[in-house]
Amino acid sequence: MIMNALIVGLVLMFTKFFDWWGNTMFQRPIICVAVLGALLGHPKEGIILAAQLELVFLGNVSLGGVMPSDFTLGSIFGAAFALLLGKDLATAVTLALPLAALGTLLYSSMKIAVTSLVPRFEKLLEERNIKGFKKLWILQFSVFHLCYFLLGFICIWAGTDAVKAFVDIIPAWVQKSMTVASTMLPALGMALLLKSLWTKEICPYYFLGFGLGAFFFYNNVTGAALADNAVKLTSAPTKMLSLVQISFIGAAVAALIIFRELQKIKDERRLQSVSSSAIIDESEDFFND
Amino acid sequence: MTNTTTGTDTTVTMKTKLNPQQKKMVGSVFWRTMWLMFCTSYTKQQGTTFGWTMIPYLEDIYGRETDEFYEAMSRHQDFFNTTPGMSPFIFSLVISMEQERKSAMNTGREFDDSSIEALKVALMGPFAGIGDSIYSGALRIIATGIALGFSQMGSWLGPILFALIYNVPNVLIRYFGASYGLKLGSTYIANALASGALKAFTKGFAVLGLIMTGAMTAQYVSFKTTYVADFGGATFNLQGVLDQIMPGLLPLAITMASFFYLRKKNKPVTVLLVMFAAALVLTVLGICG
Repeated sequence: MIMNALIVGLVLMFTKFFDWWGNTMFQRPIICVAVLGALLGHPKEGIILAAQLELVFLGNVSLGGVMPSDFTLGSIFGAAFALLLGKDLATAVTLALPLAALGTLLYSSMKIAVTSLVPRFEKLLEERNIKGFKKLWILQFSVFHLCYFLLGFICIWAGTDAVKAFVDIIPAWVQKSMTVASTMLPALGMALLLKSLWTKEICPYYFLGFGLGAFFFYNNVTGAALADNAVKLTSAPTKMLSLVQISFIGAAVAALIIFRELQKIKDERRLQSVSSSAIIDESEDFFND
Repeated sequence: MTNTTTGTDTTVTMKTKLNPQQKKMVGSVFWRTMWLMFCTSYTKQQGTTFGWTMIPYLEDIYGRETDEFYEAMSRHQDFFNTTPGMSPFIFSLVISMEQERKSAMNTGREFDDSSIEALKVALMGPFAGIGDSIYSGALRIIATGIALGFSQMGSWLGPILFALIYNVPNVLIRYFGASYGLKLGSTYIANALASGALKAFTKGFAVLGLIMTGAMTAQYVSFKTTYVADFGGATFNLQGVLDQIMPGLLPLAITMASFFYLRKKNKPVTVLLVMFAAALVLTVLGICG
């Protein structure tokens, strides 16, 4: 257990580190949960769980310094407990969602602690102490990340039995409805994304994308059987366009928009110069008369 | 080494080649700006780390432990917030302005100190706008769209592709941002801002983001009903009927409902709770799950 606790603590710390360092997006569940699964000895389950948790938290992005929920902390703990206790997605989601909300509280209080250090930084500069400035800067983020390591380590080390007892008393219908909820939650993510992208002028493109993704099917033959001397094929409707193909079309549309906008700017400028020169011409005519 | 390049509509003077010292500077800015998020406070966001990042360049320009150095450090302690990936460009511009300031001081010319701060303030907003639509709107969504399918099958290609598709452009934008910042100088970017060219690109990326969000609504919001009624031999399959009206009707409906609620009242937690409640009720009633 101490080994697992170490792993979870380290994954949590380094995920938080690379969330900031270079903004690598390693804090997304699709990466950090996959790494966690591999380290805990469940590589394949980890990757699949990572994909499912990514879908649940798809729209959660921190924009402009506001974090709606700490999906990283939530999904790492949710996945860790699910993998360690041999449970499935329903358990992971049941644990991840409330923990993500709690994680935001923790993050904001740590940010308040960092904010309280800001005057210290200013004072060190006034005292002409650049060494102290550099030291304090390193110290504050080291403590910040160490806190996340300790949190992960202690929660897994001391909390697994309690979580096991809690998970075991959750009735089956609650777990089933959590799975249903996890098919709905990506809609909230999409809505949050839409909020940052939607303007009246360009909103029809959302429906273009939806149509491309939803309306084109082909019948994928899934099996064949011989009945009454005739081959009977069973097939399932399958989406024709993948997201990669749609992004190709989307990029072409975006390029068209950019070119048109740039052309508009050019035309406006030409119009301005033409009209201003026309005024000069007129005045010249006027004076020539 | 200055060359005059003729743009499409304006003529700008731009250095086409960097000297070895500047090349070293590009690498240094690239690596140091990776740390931009490591002291985000509520009062200054990335402001304190902006100062930290500037330390070696200011020491280089004004000399170690000089009055000028500390005076410049204090100037770089104000509020700063932008998309971290776009920051190397801004840093390069600011560094070249500080160099200009030093050479102005040496030759006895006048230099308006506030113009450096004004450039930072003028650039961080528009760059956060275009940066968020590139990084969160387009890059992350495309990376997720491509990687999720592989991850759902439990393949390592999923997380690896996600990391690469997001981070290769991330690294390129950072590196060439730092390089072009030194090449272009501050007058060029002032022109681009005034002409609205930045806005054109922001719009294009927002359109791509909307198309991808629509496609993901269609393919990743998998909510459906399992309600089947038997009217004396004639089975009524609710999901089948819905699919005949329009494929993906339920995902689109709950996404739109969440979006319009979020736009009126910005409370994602309420949507979350409503979804949980709905999932519980629908599962108990046997309509879903």
